[in-house]
Formats: sequence, C-alpha cells, structure tokens
Amino acid sequence: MTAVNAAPAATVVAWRRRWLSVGAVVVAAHLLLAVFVPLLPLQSPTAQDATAVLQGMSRAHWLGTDDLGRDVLSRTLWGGRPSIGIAFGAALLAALLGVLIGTAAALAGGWLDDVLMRVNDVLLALPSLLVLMLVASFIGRQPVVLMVTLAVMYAPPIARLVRGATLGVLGRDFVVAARLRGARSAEIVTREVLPNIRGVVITEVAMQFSWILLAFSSLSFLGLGTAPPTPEWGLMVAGARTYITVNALPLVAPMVMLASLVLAVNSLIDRSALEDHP
Amino acid sequence: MTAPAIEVHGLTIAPRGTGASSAVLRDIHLEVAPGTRLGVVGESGSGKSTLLRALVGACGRGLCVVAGSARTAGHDLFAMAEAERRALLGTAVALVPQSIGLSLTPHLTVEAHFRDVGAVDRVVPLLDEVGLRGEAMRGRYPHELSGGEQQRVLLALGLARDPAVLLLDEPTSALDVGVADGILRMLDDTQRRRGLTLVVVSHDLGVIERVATRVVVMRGGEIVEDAPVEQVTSAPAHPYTQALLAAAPSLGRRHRRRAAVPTPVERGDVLVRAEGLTVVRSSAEAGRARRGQWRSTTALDQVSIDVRRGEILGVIGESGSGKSTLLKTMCGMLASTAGTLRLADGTDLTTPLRRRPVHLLRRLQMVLQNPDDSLNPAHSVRRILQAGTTLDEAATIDLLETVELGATMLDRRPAQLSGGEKQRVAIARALAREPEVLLLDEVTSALDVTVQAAVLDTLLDLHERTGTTMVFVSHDLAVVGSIADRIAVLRNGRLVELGDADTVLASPADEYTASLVALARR
Amino acid sequence: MTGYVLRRAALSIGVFVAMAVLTYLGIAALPGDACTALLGKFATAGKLAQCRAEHGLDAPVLQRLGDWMLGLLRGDLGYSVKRSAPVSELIAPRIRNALLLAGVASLLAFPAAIAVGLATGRREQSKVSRAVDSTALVAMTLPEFVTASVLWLVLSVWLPILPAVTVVSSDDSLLDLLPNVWLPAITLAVLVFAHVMRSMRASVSATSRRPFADAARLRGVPERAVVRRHILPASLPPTVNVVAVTAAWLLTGTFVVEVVFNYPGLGRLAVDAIADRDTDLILALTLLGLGVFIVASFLADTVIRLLDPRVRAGVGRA
Repeated sequence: MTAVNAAPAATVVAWRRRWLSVGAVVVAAHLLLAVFVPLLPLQSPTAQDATAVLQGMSRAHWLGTDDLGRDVLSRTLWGGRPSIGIAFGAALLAALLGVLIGTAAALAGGWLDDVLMRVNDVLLALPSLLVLMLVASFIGRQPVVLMVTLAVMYAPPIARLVRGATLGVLGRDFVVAARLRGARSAEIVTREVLPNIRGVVITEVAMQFSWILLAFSSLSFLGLGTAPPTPEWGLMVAGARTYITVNALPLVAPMVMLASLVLAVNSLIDRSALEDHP
Repeated sequence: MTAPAIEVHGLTIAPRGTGASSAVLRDIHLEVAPGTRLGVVGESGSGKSTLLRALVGACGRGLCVVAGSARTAGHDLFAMAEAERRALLGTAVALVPQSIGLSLTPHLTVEAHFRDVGAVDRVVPLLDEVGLRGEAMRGRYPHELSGGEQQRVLLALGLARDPAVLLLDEPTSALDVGVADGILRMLDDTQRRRGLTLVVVSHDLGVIERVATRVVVMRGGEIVEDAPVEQVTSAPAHPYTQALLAAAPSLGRRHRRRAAVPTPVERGDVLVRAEGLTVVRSSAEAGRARRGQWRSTTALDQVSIDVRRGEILGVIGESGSGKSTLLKTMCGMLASTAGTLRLADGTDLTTPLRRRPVHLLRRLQMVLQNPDDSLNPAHSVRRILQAGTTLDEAATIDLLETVELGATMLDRRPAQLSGGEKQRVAIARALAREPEVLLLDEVTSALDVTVQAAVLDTLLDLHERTGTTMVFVSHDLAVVGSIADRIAVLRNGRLVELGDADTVLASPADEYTASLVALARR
Repeated sequence: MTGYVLRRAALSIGVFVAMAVLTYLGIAALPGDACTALLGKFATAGKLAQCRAEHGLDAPVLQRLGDWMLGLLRGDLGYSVKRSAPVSELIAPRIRNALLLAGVASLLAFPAAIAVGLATGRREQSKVSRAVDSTALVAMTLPEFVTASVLWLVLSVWLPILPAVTVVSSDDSLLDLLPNVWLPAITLAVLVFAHVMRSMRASVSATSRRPFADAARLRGVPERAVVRRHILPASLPPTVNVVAVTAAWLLTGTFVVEVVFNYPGLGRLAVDAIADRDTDLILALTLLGLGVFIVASFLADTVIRLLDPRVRAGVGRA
C-alpha cells in the first residue's frame, strides 16, 4: 500500500513541511523575544505618561500608547514573557507527571491502574479554568502556584495517552520477546516502550502547551493571572476593551502576538500522529 | 459462440502520476467464457487483488488505468458514470471481499444488510442456500458470527441479486481447514446450480485446485501462466509456477532437504516432559472480556507429552486447540492450573516468566508468529540481536549467517526488511541465547509460500548442523508434515494423537487426525 | 436497556454525591472564607469571629458539610454572605439566561458542524475539505477572548450590526435580552462548531476507510445509502461524546465569553463569585456545572449504546 499511496503522501509531506518551516520560525522568534526582550532598546513597558494617553502610531510610540500613556510596542513585546515562561514550565512538569503516571499505570495494571485512572478521570472532568480561578483567588497568583496548578490540571490527558500508547506497545510481540530474554520492567519501559511512543508524547505535550498558554492568558484576561502593571497579553486585552472605540491598537497588538504564537505552535503539531491514540 | 463473461485487453494500472514502469498490473489479457471457474493465484504483491477489483471497474486508492480495457458481463465498467456502475454491481457482477477484515457493517443485523440490496424478503432462502440456518441468523449482528459464518453471509449478499459473474477474494484465508472445506464445497454446489462464472483469487494453490478448472498464475503484476488446472499442477510451463508448486507444502511429499537426509531421527532422551498439564484461562485473558461475565475455558486439558533431545516435534491443531497455549506455558507466559512440566534435570517449568532466572529463560526460546510485530521498529537489527547478550560484532554476523542473512542487515531497521527477512532475524534472536529448545509458533503462517519454503529450509539446515531441539506449531498439517520427526495433534485442548510423523500421516489412529489428513490430501 | 439506564443513573447519582462532598471539602480546605473576603482589610480577630458565628462558619467542617447536604435535599442552596441574598434567588434568573445563550449557540453550531463534518470527512484529501479543517483548527486554538474581541471589533465597532455590551440586568425579560445574545452566541458557536466538526470529520474519514464501507459499495449499494446507513451511524459515537461535553460547557463553562460581552449568565456570576470568595455561591455553581456534565455524559453513553450493538453486548470494551 505504501507504493500505492506514494503520490498523495508526498504532497502532504511537502505541504506540511512548508508550514513546519513558517511555524518553526515564528515559534523560535517568540521564544528568543521572551528571553532577550530586556536587551532590546525599548521604552519602559510600565512608565506612564499622562500627557500622551491613547495616542495613535507615531515616531515616539510606534504602536501608540494606552490609557495610561504607556508605550504599546514595548508592552506588547514584553507581554509574552509571563505566559510563555509559565506555560513552558507547566508543560514540562505536566509531561514528566504524565509519563510517570501513564507508564506506571500501564505496567502495574490491577488496582493501581484503576486508582490512577479514576483520579485521572476526575481531574479531566474538572473544568480547568474554574479550578485555576479558585486557586488564584483563594491561594494566590504567584507564578509557582499557577505553574504547579496548570501542570496538575494538564497532566491527565498526557497520562491517559501515555498509558494507552504504552499498553499498545506492551501488547506487541517484541515486548514478549524482551521478557523471554529476561528484561525487567524498567528496561522494557526505557528500551522497548519509550522509543516507540516518543513521537506521540512530544506531539501531545506540544498540544497541551498551547492549551496551557490559552488557559493562563484567559486567567490573566479575567484578572486572576498576572497582576498589573506587569505587561501580559491577556491582561492588556482586558484593559484595552474599555477604550476600543478611541484606539484599537492596544487591543489588536497583543491579540496578534498571542494568536501568532498559538497558531505557530499548532502548525508544528503533526496531529495525524495522535490519530492512532485517541 | 456466446460473448465472453470477462474480456480484458492490455489492461495496465499504475499509481496516479507515474508511468507504466511502476505499474501494479501490466498489460493483462484475459478472456473468460460464461460458466467458467477461474482461479487466480499469486503471492503478495502479484496484483491478483487489483485485477479482481478492476473486473468491477474499481482501481483502488491512488491508482488509475493507464492503458487497456476491461469488460465484465458485457459492460465496460471503467467507462461508466459512478451511479451507473454501482447499479450493475451485485446485478451483473458481484465481488465478495475477504471476511477477515470485518467486511460486514458492525451496527447492522444480517437482515439489514440484505435490505440495502433490496433482497430483504429473500433473506432466509439466501442464507439457507449458503448453508446457514436463515431464520436463526437473520437477526444477528456481525460480532455474533464466526469467521466462517461471516464469509457465508458475504457470499449470500453477493448472490442476492443473481449476478452472472461472481468474484471472490481469498474466500477461505484465516479459516480453519474444516470450515474452509465446507465453504469450498458450498461454493462448488452454488456455481453448478446457478451456472455462474466464478473467479476466485487466492494465495493458496490448493484452494484454487479445488474450485477452479482454469488457473491464472500472477507475479509482479503480470500473468505468467494461464492454463487448465490439471496442466498447471502436472506440467507447469513457467519457471515461477514450477517454483510455486515446489514450494507449496503438500502431504506425502517430505520437504526436499528433509528427504535428502539419510539418517532419520536419532532417538534422544527426554528433554521436556509434561504430565497431565492443564491450563484454564479466563475469558478476559483470552481477550474476549464481557462485562460481568467471567467465563473460563480449558485451553489445555490433561496433556501429557514429552519433547526429546534433538528432535523436531510438530504440533498441529485448529484455532482454539491449545497448540499456542502449550508453547506459552512452556516458556512461562501462561500459568498452568494442574499437572507438571519439567526439564530433564528436574527444573520446574511452571514458574511464571517474571520469576524465572535469566539462565532458565535462555534454555527455552520462542519465535512468534507475526514477524511484523515481533521486532521493535525503533531498533536496528544489531541492537535487536545483541540485547541481553555478550555477542560481539563477529559473532553477530555469524549468527546472521546461520539464518542465511548477511552483515549488510546489521544497521537496518525492521521496516527495511521483507517478511521473510524479519522472521529470520527473529529466529536469529532466539538462537543468540543458545537455547536447548527452540519453540516456533506458526512462524511461517504469515509468509508467502516461496518464502515459507525458504524459511523451512533454513530451519532444517540449522537442525542438521546444530541438532537444536525444536517444537514447531502450525495449523497447516502439510507444513508440519514436511518438517517434523514426530507429530502431536491437539483438539479442544486435548492431545488426540502423538506419534512418528510417517505413521501419523500414513495411518492415523484417531478419527480427527484422519479427517485432517484427508483434508490436507485434497 | 432499561436495566442499563437504571444502573447507569444510580452510578451517576453516586458520582454526583461523591463529587459534591469532595468539592465542599476542597473549597473548605482553601485558605480564606466568605468572612475574610467580606471584611477584607478591616478584618480583626473579633470581627471575624463575630461574622463566622453569625453565618455558622465556626462549626467543625464535617458538621457544616452535613448541614449543607441536608439543606441541598430541602432545596436550600445556601446564603451568599457577600451579596446578602439566598443563592437560589441569585442563580435562578442566570440559569434562564444561560439556557438562552447555550440554546442559540447550539442551534447555530451543532447541526451545521455535523453536516459539514460528514461532507468534508468523506473527501478528506480534497482542497476544500482541508481548507475547512485548517480554518476550524485556527478557530479552535485561538483564545476565546481573542475570537470574541475580533467578532466584537468587526460586528459591533467597525460594522455596527449588533449591540456590543449587555446593559440589561440579569432578571429582565428574555425579549430585552435577545438582541444581546447574538454576539456571545456567535462566538461560542464558532468554537463549538470547530470542535464538533473536526471530531466528526476525523471520525467519518476513519469510518470511510474501514472495509465494511468498501464492501457495501462493492455490493452496489447506492452512495447515499452507504453514507446514511453504514458510515453515519458508525461515525457518530465519538462525536456524540464531543457534543455532550461541549453542550455541558456551553451551559456552565462560558466564563470568558460572558465577561467579554458582560452577558448575565452563569459564567460571569461564577467569575464574580470566585473573585469575591463567595463560598456558598461558588459551591452551588460548581455543583450545577458538575450535575450538567454528569447528565450530559449519561445521555451520551445511552445514545452510543443505542447506536452500537457491540457496546450493548459489552464486547470490545474491557
């Protein structure tokens, strides 16, 4: 069948590769910007200027100013740091949790599997934004608190996928062959299972990264994430809504940044890799 | 003279956007008179299924007709609009697909399938005609039918609108010999009664011999031989047909290498002994879990059998006979319920896999049925062979050579190997641990006949050189008969016969063995 | 089937009660309560103790849990300290508004999503099909407040077709509310459409590749019947689940969109209640969300059971 499908498959690959490169450049640009923005010759993102509020584009302020006279360009470029940093950390932590729990559940089976998966189901059923709001309101909105909460809320889908994929591999004959030569469970996971599920796990983690980014910026938008005056895209959009009829730039600029990042991350994700592991 | 039922002229089918050089079917010419019984035989990749589909005007995904034409029952199906062609399917010509891939719609009852083709009022007589109890079957869902029953339902659906031409794709593959025999008989009756033009595609020349009067042999997208069936089997003209015939295992003809070995078997001492071995499996373990229903089946029932040093013990049985269970219990993958299982030195073999020390594991190594599944796709051949051993590069190459592969294989991954090469690597992996007993579970069943013959050759060579004890399990009596010194016959978990291969094949003591032998001789 | 429905309903009630207890204990375990929130920086030890005594917050947690559960059985959802009103009075008009919003969004999204998913899933490789899929992916992955803000900017600021921000209060008549429902409903419909359509498309294209669809075509079954009788019923189960989850979300999870458009539904009430740490109100809203989710998945499982005889027989799902 591979030979039969060669022609359409080739175009799919080419099509995907094109987007892959555009997406990769955009994601890389965002990451570099988040790391190196303090080095750029920008105006202070928090300095207020009561004499220049809600200005349009000008030489002094390329993207104008907001209602407190802060430079929109500077705030927009700084605005990705909190979300990208927290989402990155939370996604890595979620990946670690998900792989540990997923492989443990698959390998152990029995009651441990049942308990882990029921807890997983409960976490999956909870609306993550609601939990985030509760945590932020009652415990606090410190980055570490939010990062850990996000990791816990977004690890379950990774754990479920890892468990399913691991079970799939464990059922295959080459694992039987490994057991017949006396391989122990730890060796089976690292040697036989992980190399075969690496692709789907990376894809799933990338997808969860984009959901975490969305959740965190939504939390900021609702006023429970990053605290003002720190520039953050969700927060900027929320603040800019009140004077949208006077100046739309402070609303549009952070939206373009956030949208470009999320779409670029998603263009990198090869969703077809996940289709075999619903 | 009446018009031919099938008329194919210069048909060439290739992947879209490529030239005739990569054609899947190349310049096919075929003329079939009404009422003919035609068999098409070939190995995987021969284009036989593509040809069958072309006879209903379908190309398959990503393929297109490059040249030539095909007329079936007087219609040029390729030239028609889709709706017009669809209207002729089932009425002028019907294609019955393989049943192994779930060709019945899972959420529809048997009867509902007939509603689609406007034959709901004739469900019962049609099902009766294909040998099913129509009244009992009509309300069932596909998952409630056995493989043979599904195949019969598919056939009844094909016959529902009285087509003049009936095309069948591998009608008996994946079915037990007894079931397959019933289907072939029924097919024979139906063809005679209805005067159908019948085209049967199969990888198994034995099946074709039973149903066809004329055979087309295909290879690499071309027809290499087209002749009456007696002529093909007695005096094949094309070298490939000759090779195919030579490779096909057949009773009464020991494997050629085997026949050449002068000393038959050196009767060794007992290496593994099972006494009253019983294995009860819950249905969940067997992969058929039903919620709230814990049924258990006795997979092995009081089996007493011994494996002698240096012999090849063949184990034969249909699906569910317990033949795989026997191997899996020996190597610890399944736990036994009662009885004893010991090595000659008294080592107990009923300990489960996870609790067996490595040195015991090494003594019994198993090769599994499906070569696509038994090699880790992420690893190179070198890594697969060296895992858990102290083999150096030279020893690894030596090992590859014992299974007739070379050093060039070392850095390949399983996806870059053919089916036969994969199975050889799997055998080499088992040999790498220098086992006392090599357990072979249907190791040639997934392979084409010529590849199967080559792998059997390799195993026999190996046996001659090293004298490794082997237990060879298969559903195919002809294959077992061509390689084994002694044969054990299992049925529903019980050992019904055990004896020298020649004796068992020539004068079976058990009735069931006799029926298997009779079926294999056809 | 009746037996299954009864068993499944009993299980759902059990899960609901267990989750209610967990939620209560979880929120009780969080630092801060209605009194600290109410008094804010004016809180002194004395005032806090007085406030807690007044609202029965000084009792042991298990006793409060028991009282709360007994209250639930009588239909008493608790009392909002911050808003000085019984919770049920605060929630009732919001439920009506949420139903209106969810209803409009569902009507806009679900039928279209299933139809488009079916049509594009059958021709997965065609250009139109892939373009539709990519567009839906974009709609799905953008944050709700971005989609909402864009629609708002376009439909009410640049081309003033629809009123922007709701100014009606939560208990005005539905007729007064109707003009304000469109923007949030369209925003939600876009998101829901994208999710359901992609699920349906993936499911249809997977089903179309299964051998039974091919076999039906080979039997000469007309294409319409192949789609209607063979492909569609086999493709629906995964989509039924997605529809159930998104419908539950539409009713109780639309925090961001309601805040953007200031729509007086359950989501905005929840955001306000959480910001105020209004525990009784938060509890009631959480339980409502949970209840809706459980009912939705119960309905989805029942529908799937009707669609697939193998699930009915308990085969293939260990």
